[in-house]
Parts: sequence; structure tokens; C-alpha cells
Amino acid sequence: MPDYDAWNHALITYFVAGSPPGAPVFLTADDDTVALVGERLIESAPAAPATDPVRDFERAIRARVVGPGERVVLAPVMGSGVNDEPRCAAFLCALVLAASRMRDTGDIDDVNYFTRLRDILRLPGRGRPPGMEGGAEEPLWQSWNFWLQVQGHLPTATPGPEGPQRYIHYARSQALLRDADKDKLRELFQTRGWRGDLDAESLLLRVRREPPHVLTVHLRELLASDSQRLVPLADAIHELYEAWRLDPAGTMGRAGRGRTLYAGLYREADPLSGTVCYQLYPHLTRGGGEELRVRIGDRVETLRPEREHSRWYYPVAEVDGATLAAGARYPIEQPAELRELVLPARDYWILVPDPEMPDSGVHATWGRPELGEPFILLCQEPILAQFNYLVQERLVECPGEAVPVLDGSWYELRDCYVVSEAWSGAHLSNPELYDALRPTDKCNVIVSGGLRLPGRPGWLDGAGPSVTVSGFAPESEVIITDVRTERVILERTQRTGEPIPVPWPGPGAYQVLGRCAGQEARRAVTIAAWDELRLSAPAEEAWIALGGHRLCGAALD
Amino acid sequence: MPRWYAACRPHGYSRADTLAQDVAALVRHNDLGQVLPLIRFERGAKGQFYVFLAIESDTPGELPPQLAKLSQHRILSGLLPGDDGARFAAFDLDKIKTMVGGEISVQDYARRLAKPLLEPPVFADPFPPDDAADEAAADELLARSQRYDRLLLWLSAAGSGSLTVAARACQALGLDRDGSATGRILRRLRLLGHVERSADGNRWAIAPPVLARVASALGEARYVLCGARDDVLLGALRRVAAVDEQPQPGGAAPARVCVMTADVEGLAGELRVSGVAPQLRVEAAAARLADALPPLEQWQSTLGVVPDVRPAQYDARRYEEAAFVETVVDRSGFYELWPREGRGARAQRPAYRLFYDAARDRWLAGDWYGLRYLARVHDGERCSAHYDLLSASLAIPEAFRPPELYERALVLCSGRLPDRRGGWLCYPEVELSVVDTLAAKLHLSLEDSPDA
Repeated sequence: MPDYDAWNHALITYFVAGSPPGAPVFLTADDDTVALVGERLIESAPAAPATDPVRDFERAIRARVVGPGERVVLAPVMGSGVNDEPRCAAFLCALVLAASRMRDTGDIDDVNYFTRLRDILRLPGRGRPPGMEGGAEEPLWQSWNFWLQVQGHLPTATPGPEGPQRYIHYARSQALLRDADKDKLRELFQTRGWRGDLDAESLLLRVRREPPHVLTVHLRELLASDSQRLVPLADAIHELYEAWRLDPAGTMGRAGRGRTLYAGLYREADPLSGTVCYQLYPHLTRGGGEELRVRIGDRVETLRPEREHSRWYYPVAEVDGATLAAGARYPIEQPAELRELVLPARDYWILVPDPEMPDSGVHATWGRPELGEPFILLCQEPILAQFNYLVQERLVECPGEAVPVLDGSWYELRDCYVVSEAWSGAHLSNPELYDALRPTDKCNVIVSGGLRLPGRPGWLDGAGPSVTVSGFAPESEVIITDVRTERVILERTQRTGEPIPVPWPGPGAYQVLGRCAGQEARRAVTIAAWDELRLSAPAEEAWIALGGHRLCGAALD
Repeated sequence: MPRWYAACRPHGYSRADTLAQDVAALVRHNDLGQVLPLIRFERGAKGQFYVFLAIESDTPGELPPQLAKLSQHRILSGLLPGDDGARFAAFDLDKIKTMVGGEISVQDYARRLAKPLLEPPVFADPFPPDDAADEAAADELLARSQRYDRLLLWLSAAGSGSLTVAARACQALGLDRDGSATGRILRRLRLLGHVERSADGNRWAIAPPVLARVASALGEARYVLCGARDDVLLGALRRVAAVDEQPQPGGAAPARVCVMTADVEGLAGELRVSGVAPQLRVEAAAARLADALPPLEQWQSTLGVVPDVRPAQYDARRYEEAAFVETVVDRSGFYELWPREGRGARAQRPAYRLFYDAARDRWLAGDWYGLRYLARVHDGERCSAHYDLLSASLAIPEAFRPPELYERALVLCSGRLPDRRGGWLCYPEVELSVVDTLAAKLHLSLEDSPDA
């Protein structure tokens, strides 16, 4: 049986390694997630007996923190363990798991919460368990947040206002879908008869357009969150949807996970000829990462995860205009539990620059455009008029004309920006396009330029990025803090949208806080020393033929 | 023999420049360059327009015999008759200017006289005594060199990428302001064996680390580090061997890292096994590459053929002596094909820079210097190079910079880029055997150094 430390490491890997560099990390532990992580953990354990992974997780937690006299002892989960990983992660997941099992009361309810937590810990009674009085768990959350920042991620766990629920808020801020939310969403899918191939973004937009009364209070709160929280929420709702499509009655239990992978689009343009190429860009499922074999046409392609923190496979197979318009389904030959890769039929796609290398010229369906981030709209002709309406209403700025691509059957609108927050008065016949472009944030921090660390989050010393606060007010505030020393290295008011060079003091982890129009946004920035650079694996395609030899640099075979 | 102009008001042509192409074909196929040296027409004229054919004949208004026998040709049959009806109307340049409203274009068909080969600038000594180094310039050079060192560290970690990514890296390090210099930077890195480029030229990849043997007059064993490097590898080399690090000429590339060791195989084996540099090789890189390279004629046959090039759709410029000159495509050479100007727009760059192989009527792509070198050899020019035995330096006129892979063999001899001196490219520490091999393949005419 895996012990607490094994669970701790597995959960950190799942939640942190699966997050892109600089991205916010949510410990979204619920029964399904714990089961998913646990199944792999137990499978990998030698001679593991069949067991319910969630029950095993609870057992491991109890074994580590419940001491004599049915008292919680937090000392064993403080500090750091192997690889400097914080020991508290698994225990914090247990706190979030309790929050995910709360009923939907609409209010913060400490009785409701602690009842669930005591169930996990098998502690009788009501209210805060002994040993956790006075918010004894808060240092664990602070330590977790600090560790995340040092790793170059954004922490998301926050306390609530002063009062009895202050410390519960840490766990509540991490939980996404609770059991009550899932029941409501399944009911919604059933009522609306949504059975088609919907990718995560399309599904989220549909759910957001539902009238408030069909959603739980908690779900409504989640849907009104900022964009950083909407990304994992979209994935969680989509995962539920895929499981429901496969098993509407829920008879398969946790085995009823989705069998479909969805593909977005990956766009590369030849800078000299201007030729544009679109490829399928398969999205990993949550926690996925294994190689896949997919039949595309008469070829079997192997899909490999793109990079360490990526949620995507390498792009594969060029897509033509007709396929894009009609959508496509490609059978997955391996592994057996996945059935097909689906390219949904859509009349538009929104593509944004590579978040890890925005200057590369590559665009893909990496998510909604952030405030102040340029995007490309790829669309069919009927969408053009609607997009032009947004431009004429000065909601969106688009400097150029529509460019025909993909044999002229699709159009690209390039270097577009959302420029207004006043979207309420605008009406489109395509509500999905409207919702997809309407900004959810009033403030965003953009880091740009500099020289990025290849393959890892961060920039190189002496070549750090500039910082821009985007927002709808003319002035904004920016504060940059050294995470380790908590020293403020820059604090100033600046014109919104204007990049400022930052005198990064040297290698380290920094947090950039932007404030504009009454909203805050954060961004993690890691500056690395030059001696941290390591040789990459050699690229086989780099060799060139020379008579009977192969040449690469000074090497001749 | 006087030159006069016959006017033609052609039928069946909507644009003057279309007609100009047909005249070019007529001249080329019938070898008329001496009697019909050029035409003039109104730039961008459409609809009703005149084209003026410069004709050289004994009597103005009379066609020379070479043209007279083609008088039924579609173009010549449309020449305006003179007042007497027997001859053609003869115009001069001033008269033409009064007849056209716009700017007059000239299309030149006369074959150019092959000029005698330009003598190498003998007044410039390719191996002058060293100038005293200026301290400020030395600091600047060192700073620039260190930026290139960082670029190579970064490329080594990134592994491979698009040209755009490399350009951004160069910009972030202050090596390239607007991306226009990145191509040249990557070329220098290729010459030094640090990177390679993809077949389509759109991507780069770091090369495996190699300790490339360099020649030494004193017989000591010296190797330059080419390809991927990081601090761990550099640190390990410094610990186990004597390492000399010198900036490149002008600081225009990463510093040369020269390793002196009597047991290079043992050193490399240790670094491979310890995981410091699992791909590390030891090579006599320059000599092996020089041997592997084909003679220039065979190299030409390895160049990529660019299909479907239609020169008639472009304004052609041929490399002549030291510049591209407007011409028609009528013989082998290095050409730029520029998109035709339209609606007042002027193309920023040529659509193609290619070598035209007239014998096989095909267009070949390759590196710029390589195509130029090929064109010069095709034009009968011969590169006179100087070799200084004492310093083992080879001087090649800049105008004869060799194709990139051949130049790489020269650069790998020392791990140093060539110095530019008075119109010469001076490659240091070049083994005589490499010089002989390359001279035979590139048709170099070897001469002793002026000082030798």
C-alpha cells in the first residue's frame, strides 16, 4: 500500500507537473481526482492488492496525522521531504476533498465542512477537530503557497475574511466542482440533450449561458471567476461531460471516464513566404501523458506529450479547410481505454501565441485570449460579418483585412485585440463567439520579451522580461516582489498597456502584482542563472547528407 | 554604324513590358544583340503605346540584313513606315521623349563584353603586421564575444528551433536589433561547426559537441570545441586540460575554446561516461570534411532544383563583377528575380536568388556566396589565393568567398573565423593538405604570399 509520502509525491506531480510554467496551481482534489491519482499509484506499487484508492488515500492521511486521543497532529506533515517537496500537499488535498463533498448551502458553512473532514479522518464529533484549533493548518497553506512560488507557479489558496470561516476558505478556494455541482450539471446535460462532440471551451460557454436558477450557487460563483480559475473549471466540467456521455446513468462508477480526446489547432506560418499551415493539436486529458497511437488516414501516428508541463501532444497531421469545416474523428488504436480523437466541427477558432514562447510566431488553441493578448480568429465566411460588427462597435480591434487561408475556404483575422469592456450592449447572432471574446478580466499582467529558459519556465539573468499591466483604466499599479526575501524590488504607477523594463536583481523567484480598474492580477516570474543551462538532446533531423556521409556541425559520420 | 530607332505600335499586346520580353526572345534566339541592342518603351504603358527598337544599320530607316530576313516577324512587321514608304521611320532619342508621356524604360540586349579579370588588390598585403590594439575597442570586442558565448549556451540548451526563435534570442542578447542580422549570425555559427540548418533553411539545430583537431606547427595536440556546450562541459574541460579561450575576430561569434591535451580520446571518453557530454566526439574535422566535399562541378549537381521558375514574370538581375545588374536571363549565372512593380508598389526583396544552369535549363538554390562563386567560375574567372607557409594562413579575395561547406572546412582548421584584411579573407592555421584538397576542388589558383 502506498504510504503518505507516496501519496504526497503523486499528488504534487499530478497538480504541479501538469500545470504550465507560471500558471496558477489549484489543488482541485475531489473523489474522482484522488481516485485517478490513486489508481496509478497503486498500480505502480509492487504486488498491490485491489483496493479503493480513495479509501486508501484516507487511510494514509489518518495514519500520518491522527495521533493518540483522536487528535490531529500536524507536525509530521510540516517542512519538506524528498526533493524539497513540501510534506503538507496530501494533507491539504484531504482538506480540499472535504470541501468538495460539501452540500450546496450557498453559504460558507463550517459545520458542513468539518463534518466532511471528520468523516475523512474518522474523528467523531462536530466542528474543528482537536489539534486544528485556531487555524493551525494555516502555516501549511502558507508553506505550500511559498513552495509553489519558488517553483515558478502562482499560488491560489487564499484565506477568507476575519471570522470563523477564515481558514476554511483556503480549502474552498481550491475546490472546483463539488458533488452537488456535478449532480446539477449532469441534470443540465440530460435536460438540454447535449450529446455531441463539444470541446472544453465550447461546453463552458454553453454552461455560462444557462439561466442562474439551473445552476448551484457554488457553480454560479465559479463561473463568475477570473480567467485563471475558468481554465481548470472548463476542464473539470468537460471531464464530467465526457464521463456522462459514456455512462449517463452513472452505473460504471469511476470506470466511466471519457474515452474521447479532443484536438485543437496548431498554426505555423512561414515568415518568408507567408504560407500558413494548420495541424491537429491533440489535448491531453487531465492526468494523461502516455503515448497514443492514432489512425489518421492510412497512417498510424504516435502522439507524444509535447513538453514536460504541457497539456498537449505534439501537433500531428496537417488539416485542410474541408476537414476543418466538417470536423473529423480518428480512431485511437492504443491504449484500448481511449476510443477516438475528435476534431470538432466549428465555424471559428481562436488562436493565441505560445504562452511559453510568445515570440515564436506559433499560434494555437491554447485558450481564451487574455486581456491585452493578441489573437487570430480563423473563421468561415459567415462569421466575418459578425466579427466586423464587433470591430465597428470598437469592442475588438483588428488592424488588417481578412486573409483567405486553407485554399480560400477559411479566413484569418490577425493581430486582433479585445479593446473594450463595454460588451453588454452588443448582440451577435452567434452567442458563442460573443462569449468567447468577451473579456472576463479587468486586469492582466503580461510579461514579454527577454530570453526565456529553454524547456523550463523562466528567463535568463540579464535578459529578464518587461512587464505590462493591461486593463480598462488609464493607469495601473505594479508591484514586483522577491518571493524568498519578500523584498519589493519595484513599485510604481504606470500607464496601462505600456511595457516597462524591470531591473531584475538576479536569479530568483518573483511575483508581479498588477492592479487596474479595481481588479488584481498576478504573474510568476523566475530568473535563472546562465550556468543552469544544460545541453539538450541532439536533434536527429539536424544531420545533412554529404555524398556518402552525414554532416552536422563539425561531426561527420 | 549609326543607331536609330524604329517605332512599333504593336498589335496583340496590352502591355509594353510583355512585348519587351518577346523582343528579348527574338534577340536571344537570333543572336541580334549587335544590331538590336536595346528597346525603349514607356514604363507601365497600357493600351495604345509605342515601343522603340534601337537599330544599328548603315542607313537610318533601313534594316540590317540580320533583321531584314525576319521582317515578317510579328514585331518587325509592325514597324512604322517612313514618309517615302520604302524605308522605316527613323527616330532619335529626343524625338522619342516628346512622343511618350511617362518615364522611359530601357531593355538592354547587347551582350556585354567580357571584361578582363580584375586583378587581386595587390596593394593590400593580406598579412600585414598587427596593429596596436585599442583598449576600448578590446573591451567592446570582449563584451560582444561574451554575448555570443551566451547565445551559444542558449542554443545548446534549446536544441533546435525556427529562425524566428533564434532571431528573438539574438535580439534579447543585443546582437541583432531587428532580426535582419540573425541569418548572418547563424552562418558564422555554422562555419564554426556549432549549428546546422534544416534542408528547407527555416530551422536550426545545435550540432553535437566535437573536439576538432587543429594543426600546430610545434606538434602539440590541440583541439577546438565545436557544437553544443554548457557550463558543466566547459568547467570539466578546464579542470582536466589546459584551455585557451580567445575571442573571434571582431568578437563576432562565440570565443574559440582550444583544449590542449595529449590524451584527447581518454578525456573525451571520461566526459562521455560521466554524463557531462554523452555525445562528445573527437574528429580531424577540417581534413575529413575537405576530403568528403565534392569538386565544385559535382557540388553544383547536389544543389536543390527549384521547379516552375518563370523568369519572364520577373525583372531579372544578374551578378556581374560586384553587383546585380538588370538583364535578361540568357546564360548561366547568379540571378535575382524581382517581382514586377505594380500599382506603385516596389518589392522589398527579390522573389528568388538562384543560379541559372543554362546547359540544363534549370534553377538551383544554394548559399549566397556559393552561388556567386559558382557563377564566377562559370564566367571563366579564377580565384587567386595566397598561402603563407610560415603562418599556415590562406588568403582568399572576399569576392571569391567559397561555398559555405568549403569555407567551413577552412574555418574548422583553426576554429577561428577569417580575418578581413584589405579585401582579403585570411584563414589562419590551415593545413597544407587541406589547402591542396580544396584548391583542387574549388579551382583555386594558389600563389605564395607577397611576404613569403
